[in-house]
Amino acid sequence: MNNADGMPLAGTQPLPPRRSLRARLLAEVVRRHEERNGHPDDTMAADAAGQAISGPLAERVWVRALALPDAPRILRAIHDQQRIGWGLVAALMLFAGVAGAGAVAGALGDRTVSLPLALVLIVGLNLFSLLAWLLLQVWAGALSSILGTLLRRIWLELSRRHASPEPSQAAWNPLVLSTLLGGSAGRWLLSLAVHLAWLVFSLVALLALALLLSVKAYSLEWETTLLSPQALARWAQLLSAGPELLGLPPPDPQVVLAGAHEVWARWLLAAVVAYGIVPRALAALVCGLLAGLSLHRLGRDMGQPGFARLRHRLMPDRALIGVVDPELPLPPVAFEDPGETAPDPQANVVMLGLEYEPRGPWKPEPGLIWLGAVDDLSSIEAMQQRLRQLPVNRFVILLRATATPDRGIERRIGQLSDAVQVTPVLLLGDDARLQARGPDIHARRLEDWQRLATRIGAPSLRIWTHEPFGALKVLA
Amino acid sequence: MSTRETDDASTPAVPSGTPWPLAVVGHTNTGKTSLMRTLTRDERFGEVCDAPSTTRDVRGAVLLADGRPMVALYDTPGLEDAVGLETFLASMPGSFPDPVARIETFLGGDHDAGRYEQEAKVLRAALSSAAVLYVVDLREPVLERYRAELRLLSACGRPLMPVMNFAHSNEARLQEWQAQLARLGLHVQAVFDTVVYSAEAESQLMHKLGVLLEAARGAFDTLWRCRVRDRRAQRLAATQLIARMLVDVAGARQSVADGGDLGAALALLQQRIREAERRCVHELLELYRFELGAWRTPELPLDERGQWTHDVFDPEALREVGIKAGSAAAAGGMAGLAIDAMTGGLSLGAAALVGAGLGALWGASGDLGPRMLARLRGYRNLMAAPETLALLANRQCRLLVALLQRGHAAQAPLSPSSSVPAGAGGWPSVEIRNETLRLRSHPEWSRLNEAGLADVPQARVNALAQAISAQVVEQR
Repeated sequence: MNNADGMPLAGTQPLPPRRSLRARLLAEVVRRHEERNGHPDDTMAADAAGQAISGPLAERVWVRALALPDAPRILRAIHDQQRIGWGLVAALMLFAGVAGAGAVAGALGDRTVSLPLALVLIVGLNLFSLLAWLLLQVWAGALSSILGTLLRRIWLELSRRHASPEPSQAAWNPLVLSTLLGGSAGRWLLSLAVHLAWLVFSLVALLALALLLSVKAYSLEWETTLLSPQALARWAQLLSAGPELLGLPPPDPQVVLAGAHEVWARWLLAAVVAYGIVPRALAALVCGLLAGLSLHRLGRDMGQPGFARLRHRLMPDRALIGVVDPELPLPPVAFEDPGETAPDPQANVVMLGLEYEPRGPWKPEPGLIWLGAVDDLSSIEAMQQRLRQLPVNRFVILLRATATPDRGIERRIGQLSDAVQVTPVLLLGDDARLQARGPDIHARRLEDWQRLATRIGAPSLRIWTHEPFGALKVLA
Repeated sequence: MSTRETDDASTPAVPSGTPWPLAVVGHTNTGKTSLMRTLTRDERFGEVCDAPSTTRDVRGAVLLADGRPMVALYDTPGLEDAVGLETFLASMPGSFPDPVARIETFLGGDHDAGRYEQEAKVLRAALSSAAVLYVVDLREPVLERYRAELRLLSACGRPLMPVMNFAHSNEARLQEWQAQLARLGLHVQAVFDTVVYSAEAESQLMHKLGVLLEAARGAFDTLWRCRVRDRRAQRLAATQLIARMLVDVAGARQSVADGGDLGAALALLQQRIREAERRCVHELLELYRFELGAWRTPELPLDERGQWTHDVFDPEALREVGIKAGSAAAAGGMAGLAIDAMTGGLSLGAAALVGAGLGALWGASGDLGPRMLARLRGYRNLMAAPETLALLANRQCRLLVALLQRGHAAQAPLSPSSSVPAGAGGWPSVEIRNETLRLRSHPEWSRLNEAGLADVPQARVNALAQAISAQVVEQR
């Protein structure tokens, strides 16, 4: 808001240290913003800054927040709100002091002072509002006192009216304010301000009382029109409990009505301390501690979703090394084309399984020679020997559809068909199992087999759907 | 980490501060890259595809614990022709003192004129790593080529551990493989399914790696501790996300004048609720590092933009989770929304009792005062109906269950077991219902309403998040 000198926003203020309250406030504002609006795109540099430091996640989050492009604007907004807050507190204290003096002036207006009236004005209002605040704490939880909420309301109005000329900064004001005042920190801070105000009220009242009672002669009376004197005496006795704690002897019940002015003057001062200053000082102490605790926690709860999701950005649990041994073009698998041979369906159909045997009870149909299955190198060599001696017209290699059609299989097929000098027909068994893995996987795997078949010059790829029966039918 | 003494001269010396290198090897298409993706939690590592030789180069990733490098994993191309290579190695002239010397000589040569280039990459990676993970596809029968691969890798003189993938498949031949691996002297074996994530299996893997590579046990332990801690934080944040979304939707209000355009107001509120759910889904996916582009989930009716296929106000969506749509239909065009019957739906509570209610509430949220005034002037407030909240809670719990069980390599649908046990009336549980319905009387906590100043008390979010957590059981 003090931007009239036309200085650019960024750089007008040095960035606060990363662990400072302002940095944590900033991180908290950013969290709320990102929880509402999603992760912005322009945080790459800030994320990198958070990643670059070593330390726990919280520190990285604060560093990232400080490095965000919006950080200077948010910090200005925080600064502005803090100034409004301090101004409000100062005004409140001033008001409280004037009110304290006013209360005393009201009570000690005449030479004859009514003690009940003085008590109600100087202590009664204070005590009643303290009780109301206590009740609100117990029953309504998050709500602050009436004065506190009023303070918050005025703060909100002020920050709306007193918006910065820079619209991009003013846009942050509501979020900054709700971060400051919305949570438990705001609750205890406002309560603290109210307790301090009443403390100022009581202290000023005490001073004014002491001053006036010292320099002027008053007659202090327990005055009443409506109540009976006995009731008044009981009240006086009851209220003496507080001053008694401060070391003042309780006045004789007879004295209540008799009027010993010096005793009662001292009693009144003690009552202001006992009922006005001590409770508020205690409450302020408690609220101050709670506010300090809440401010300490601000921006540290990494369990908040808005912080938790930054973990893998700021504190990665892996780093890519990249390629260390790059791909080289693979030499094609050498395969000798045995040339076209017209298939004669009447001639010998020779079939063998490569790493696969037909499932279930299967007997080779007439016209089909089943040579068994091969797996390891020695069985392949033995099979090659056997194949060289056989008259083969059609050569069928039974394969497992779920196997991966890799170069190993390709080479084995090559070795086997070299021995017979016939282009093999590839027959895929175990198709049901491949289908069970899903239509996508099935289609892709069949494509791979087809590619392999094309590569080795054996375009006929068959699928044995009714395995283990009817192999010849599939091959026909 | 500090105790990295290696008495075996053949083990490469690992300089301190650098991670322990592990090579991930296996036959082509057994899920090496999938294992990498799951261990690095990186969906985009390499490219998973169910085809032979997807990976043709060696690339690596470092697993970090709090920013410190612990383990470097190297993804290698598949071994395709170990049988052929074994024959080639046997035919190499010269005498070798041990199998490692033979492999080293092979790597120093031209790899049979480039014929075994891919296999050479794998062996080179194995020789330069501290231990070797051999990925097994349990759906495959134990074939000669796998035995050949294992013999080759054993000859590299590195600790070798089989990692058995696809353990959840009904085709898995676990015992067959275990027996064979034991016969080859590999007794430290791990079962790890890259499609269905299990924290228990990952813990076992890390533990067994520590057994296999005694000197690196500290690194594996540290890494695992970090991962457990991060996963717990992730889960906590996820339940908080869902809880906050429910706080927002339960408190969302849209006011409409008595004679005003009810239809437009309904559409407006519906749009805001839809948007809240969409954002929640996106953030959950981001939290678990699933990218929308790569996210394929046929089991959960989410589309490619991460939106549920059934709109939250579609009666079909209600039926899906077992909510009778009757109550919504009876409301007559309200479709998932309701009219706030109370005075603005506010619980005045104790605040009203002490006479400070209006002031306190007025201050608690910037827009509540006008809201209550609006009600007095003849406005109505629209809010989400209980069945809408039930549906939102149910869907997001199911999504979280699915995310917890999904490995980062999963491409196929999830098993339908990932359902949330349905409690009363479509709600995931009675606790979630009670907690959520209580939130309906707190519009001041909803971020969907005009920015107020009140934060939802963390205790309320935690209570709901815990109720959600109790329903989202992680698979062991």
